[in-house]
Amino acid sequence: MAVSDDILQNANAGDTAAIAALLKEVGPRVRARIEPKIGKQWSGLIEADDVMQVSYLEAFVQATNIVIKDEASFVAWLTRVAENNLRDAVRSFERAKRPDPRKRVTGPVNEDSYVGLVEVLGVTTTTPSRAAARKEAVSIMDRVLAKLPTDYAKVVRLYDLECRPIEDVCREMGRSTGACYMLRARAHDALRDAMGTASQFFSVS
Amino acid sequence: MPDDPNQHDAPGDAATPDQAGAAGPTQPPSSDDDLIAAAMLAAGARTDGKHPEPDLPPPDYFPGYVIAREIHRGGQGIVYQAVHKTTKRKVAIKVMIEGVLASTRERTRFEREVEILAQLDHPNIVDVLDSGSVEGRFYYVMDYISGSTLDVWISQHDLPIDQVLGLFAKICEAVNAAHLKGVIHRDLKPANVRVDANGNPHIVDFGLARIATGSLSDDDRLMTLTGQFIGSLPWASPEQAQGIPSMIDVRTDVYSLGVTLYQMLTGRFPYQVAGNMRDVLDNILRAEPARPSTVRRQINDEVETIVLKCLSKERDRRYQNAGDLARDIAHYLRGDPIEAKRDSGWYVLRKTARRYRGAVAAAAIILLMLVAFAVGMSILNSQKARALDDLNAEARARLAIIEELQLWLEAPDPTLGAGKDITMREVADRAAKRLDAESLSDQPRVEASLRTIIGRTYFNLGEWQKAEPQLRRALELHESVSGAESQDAIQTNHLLAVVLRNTGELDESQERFATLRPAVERVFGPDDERTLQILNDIGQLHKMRREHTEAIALFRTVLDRVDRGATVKPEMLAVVRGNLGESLAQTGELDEASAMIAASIEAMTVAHPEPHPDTARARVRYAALLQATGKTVEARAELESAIAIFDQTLDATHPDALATRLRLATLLEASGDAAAAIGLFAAIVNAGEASLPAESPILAWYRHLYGRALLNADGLDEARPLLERAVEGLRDAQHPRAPDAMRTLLRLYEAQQDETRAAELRAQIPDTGG
Repeated sequence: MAVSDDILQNANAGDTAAIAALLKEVGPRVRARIEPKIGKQWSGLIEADDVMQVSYLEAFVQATNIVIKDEASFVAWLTRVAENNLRDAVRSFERAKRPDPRKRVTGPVNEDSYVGLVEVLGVTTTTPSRAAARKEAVSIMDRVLAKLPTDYAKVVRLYDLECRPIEDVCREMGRSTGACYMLRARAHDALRDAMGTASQFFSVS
Repeated sequence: MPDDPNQHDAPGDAATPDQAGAAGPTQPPSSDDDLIAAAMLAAGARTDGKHPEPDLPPPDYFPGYVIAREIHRGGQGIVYQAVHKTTKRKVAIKVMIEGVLASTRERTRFEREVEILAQLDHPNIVDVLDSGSVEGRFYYVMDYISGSTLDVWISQHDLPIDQVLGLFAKICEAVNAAHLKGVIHRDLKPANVRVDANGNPHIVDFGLARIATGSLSDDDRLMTLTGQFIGSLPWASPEQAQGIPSMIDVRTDVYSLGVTLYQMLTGRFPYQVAGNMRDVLDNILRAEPARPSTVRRQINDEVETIVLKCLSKERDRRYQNAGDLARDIAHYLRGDPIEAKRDSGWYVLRKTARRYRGAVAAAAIILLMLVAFAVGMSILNSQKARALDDLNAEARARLAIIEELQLWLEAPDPTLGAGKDITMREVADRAAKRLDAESLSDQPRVEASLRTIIGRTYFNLGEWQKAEPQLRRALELHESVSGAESQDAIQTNHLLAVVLRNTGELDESQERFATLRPAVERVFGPDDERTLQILNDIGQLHKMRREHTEAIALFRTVLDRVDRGATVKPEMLAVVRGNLGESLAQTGELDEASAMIAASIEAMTVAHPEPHPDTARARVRYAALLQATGKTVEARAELESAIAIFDQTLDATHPDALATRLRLATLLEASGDAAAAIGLFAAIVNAGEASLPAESPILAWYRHLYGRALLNADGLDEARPLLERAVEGLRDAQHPRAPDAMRTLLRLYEAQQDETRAAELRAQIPDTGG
């Protein structure tokens, strides 16, 4: 069944119910494209449900950022999101197989955790003073995290800031490891975007 | 872990997002419907339409718009996404963060951004749709660009290098559009570029931009007083890092574009930009960028050269504006040779030259590099047409020439005193002699390229008579090897036509231009800069012939094509405006002439912040206009300013420097300052005698003017030999001004009551009738 123009228009205006209706219409088609790509190697670790749920979440998060021209372009966009999620999960599992050269030290969240996350995001912290940079990182990161969907903020706080093992994080979040990896990758994207990719750290504007 | 403030506003509140998130592997949702519902809850308050963000203003805060969400918060402003109530169009609204408490400087900066954006009309620069203030807070409304910032977009799309370059070229063209309006961005970085759903980039932030007026803005003053850095450090140029506002110009943006391109290609910065401020500034000022190909193997030598040229620490060695950069990328993408390789070749050879013992002046090395460039270009051109074996053979031959020239430059010369530097003129003379002596008949393309380079060198030195034979021979060879409509032949013929125009060979110059015009339009296209350059040069020829109607039409054609989207260097645009202004002044259109010439000077100052001959030429034009309107004091000041620039940038004997002194001397004489005029005329004739051939009609004309000034000041005896030589020189050259000089000499004979000579001369002057 084709999606009506009303749904498209309302989805473009950010209406949550319209986005949900759109996802219900196109979601199964995207799932059908993704399932064969998971492959035997990862089938025990990554479920299509995980991929789709994180992709749906991303659709709600990104709904106001994208312009949905028609149903086909939305299918293409959601498929790309799902493929990215799958790819990020696979990469995270592959990385997890290799010993991490940086020892993860679990502990209370402090400024070092925030600076470390900023570096992971590829956001350099050069400001007129290193101390100011750290405070700035904490302040901005907290503000941005507060605006992210809960799952995104939670996985970042547990894994990146508290440096807890992924298994603990997943247990606490009630998610599979693959889903946590995907959520973390999308959360990092959202952080980069919301932080203006370093712009707030370096510009006097 | 702190509570998530959003969850308290979750819709429906049947389940918190955390509860929804618990639908994990232990309790998997059973269908897509469940997954979507869980996702909707997990997305939480962000998507519930209730604007849960604590600092979000009411939805209808901005009249006519409904706020959807906050999308960016910076030091100066907050950007909201909103929907226009009537059209339902998505927009972005930027509002000053401090509102009524904003300092004057912040308000000025904000208003300036609106003003700048409003005047920039380019598809890759965000449009301003509306502006206003609400509760004392200034805001403006712009297009909402869906998509993501450039760096995020690049990280999400695994683009091949050519596509990265194509995207980057669009950004450069947008920046160039700003440069052409005199706007320097000063804060170019990926976060200030958004890429839309169609893959088109949009520059969205001009908050730190300034209009190049030559005067300091508040920001500049602050920077000067405190050394405070303005911009974004990882993308900052060395001159920004030094905190000297007067050094910041369009080339500063070129540097930032270079850092951006480096990131787009490699995902990294060209040097370490993390760490303490001092180290980072030191890296910006001194660290050589890591070669991009060491980060991404697929980056070839040409792309690497383009990137590294942008990142040169010396402004003069970068692309001189974003348009040049865009054009070179277009060259690369079309498979044409890139301009940047010229610089790269120079650099490599200069490094080689540092090994030389003895005093080889920079001028000599530069010529050698020019030769190397010519060879390189020839090789590149050959690549398309020749098989690899042939190419290797030819390349070996050409490299042999370079080696010989290197040896020649190193060889001790008994005619040179110890420690004397070789001048560019001497090197060109020697190179020309060597080419005449050594047969290169089996390598005509090489000889043609070398002679073109030597001809151009003479041309740049103002040695037009010496340039002419080199260019004639080069053209002959280019035509025989590659055809009359090859790029090499056209460019050499163009230079020759200009040389002929400058030496007064107007008829031949006009004939050549008549052939060139249709050829360039066919080969390069009507909007190519080379075509437009030729139209400008033909206009200048008409101007010299006082055919101002034809000249004006041509200059206007160039400006129209630029208005319609043709891209040219800012300095060329300034020259065309100046030429148009000059011709308009001659036809009495003084208001438009004045505006054109003023715009020309301003644009030239932006293009060449340092002293440059073209800026001096623009000032000479302005002086002529001032003189024509009777403002002699102002005209004198402009001419003196132009002469000061020429003195810093050109040899004192350069024809343009001499012509400007001549104009000043004539002005002084007309203003009644005979002593100053005579002193200046004497200096001009001395310089002319040192630099021009004895039979030069230009030198004869200088003598005429000097003699006439002496005659007017009753220095009859001193004037006589000068005027007699002037008449002889002009008559021998059959110069059209010869009768003028003869009449001046007749006046002298009559003043001296030398009736015999006067009668003889009277009989020879055409319109005295004998």
